[in-house]
Amino acid sequence: MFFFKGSRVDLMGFVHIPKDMMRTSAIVYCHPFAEEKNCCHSVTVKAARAFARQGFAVFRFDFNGCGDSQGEFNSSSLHNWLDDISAAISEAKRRTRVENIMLWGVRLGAALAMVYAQHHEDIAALVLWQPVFHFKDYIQQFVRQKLVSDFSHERQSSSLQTLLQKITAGETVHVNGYPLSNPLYGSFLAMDHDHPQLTTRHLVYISTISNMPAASAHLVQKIDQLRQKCPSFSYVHTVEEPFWDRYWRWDARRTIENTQAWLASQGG
Amino acid sequence: MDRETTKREIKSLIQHTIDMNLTPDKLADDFKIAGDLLDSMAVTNLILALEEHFGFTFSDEELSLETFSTLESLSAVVHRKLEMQDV
Repeated sequence: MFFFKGSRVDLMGFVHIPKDMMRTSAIVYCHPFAEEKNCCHSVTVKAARAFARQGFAVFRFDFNGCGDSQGEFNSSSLHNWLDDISAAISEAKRRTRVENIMLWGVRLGAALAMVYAQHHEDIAALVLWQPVFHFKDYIQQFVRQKLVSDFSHERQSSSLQTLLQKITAGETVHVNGYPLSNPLYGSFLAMDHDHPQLTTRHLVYISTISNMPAASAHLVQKIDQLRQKCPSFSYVHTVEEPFWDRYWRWDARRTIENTQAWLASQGG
Repeated sequence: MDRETTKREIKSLIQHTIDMNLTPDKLADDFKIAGDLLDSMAVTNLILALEEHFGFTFSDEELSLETFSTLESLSAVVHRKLEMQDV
C-alpha cells in the first residue's frame, strides 16, 4: 500500500504485480460508491489477484474522500473522482512501466470509467461490472436508503423530495453514515447532462450479475443501446449473488472466471 | 393478477434480490421485511426490484413501515397498485 498525489489530496494506492510474465496492458480499478465499495472489497481484491495471475498488473486506489484516501467524502464530487482516475492512471504507468491501460469498474466506478474513456481515446478497454447508467436515478435511490432506514427504525421520515430539497439548499443529509450534501449530490445531476455517448473504438466488456437468469429489462435496454455504438462489445450475464449490496458475500467465482476468459481472449 | 399470484411473485423477488436462502416456504405472511432482519440497503434494493418488475413507482406515502412491515402488508399495497393500473 502506498500514497500518491491525486487531483486534490493524496490517494491510497495498491498494485498487484504479476509474479511471472507481465502483459503489455495493465488494469486500473475504479471502485463503487459508499457502502457498495465496502461490500465488494473482498471480491474485487480476489479478482485483482486472479487478473494478476494472468499477467495483468492491477492498480487499485481509493477516490478522494473514500476508504483510506485523504479528503472528505462530503466535499468530493464526480468531477474530482474523474481527475483521480487520471492521476491513478499516471501512477499505474509509472509503477508498472506499462503504457496500455484498461479501466475496470464496478457499479458507479464502471460509470465513471465510461465517462473517463469517453474523453480519453488512449484507454485500451473497459471492463464494466453491473454498471450504473443513470447518475441521477442512482443517487436518488441512494437517498431512498435514508427513508427506509428512518421508517424501519420508526423515526420520523421526510419525503424523498424534501430530502433532496434540503441537500440542494445546502444541508447535509446522512445516509447510512455517509454525509451527502450539494457538492457531491449536485455533481451526479450535472453528470447526467453530459453523460457519455460511448461511440468510441474502446473494447468493452460488460458483466451483469444477479440471481435471476437475466439482467433486468431496464438494464438490458441500456446495454443494448451501448452495444449499438461500440464495434467491439461483449456482454455476459452471470447468475450469482450481487456481491456489492451484501456484507456476507465474499466471492464471485463465475464473474471473475468469465472476465478472465474475456481478458485472455484479448491477448496482450 | 390475483392476490396469491402477486404474493408469489413478491416472494420470488425477495428471494432473488435479498437472499437465495429465503425460499418461498420460509416466507410466511408475517415475515418481517423492514425493521428486523433486513438492512435498509436490502429493503431499498427490494423496492427498486418491485418497481422494475411490476412497472410502478411507490409514492412517498407508500414508503412506510406500514407498507413494508410484513409480506402480507406489502402484498396488499402491491396488489392494490396493480389493480389501479388495470383500471
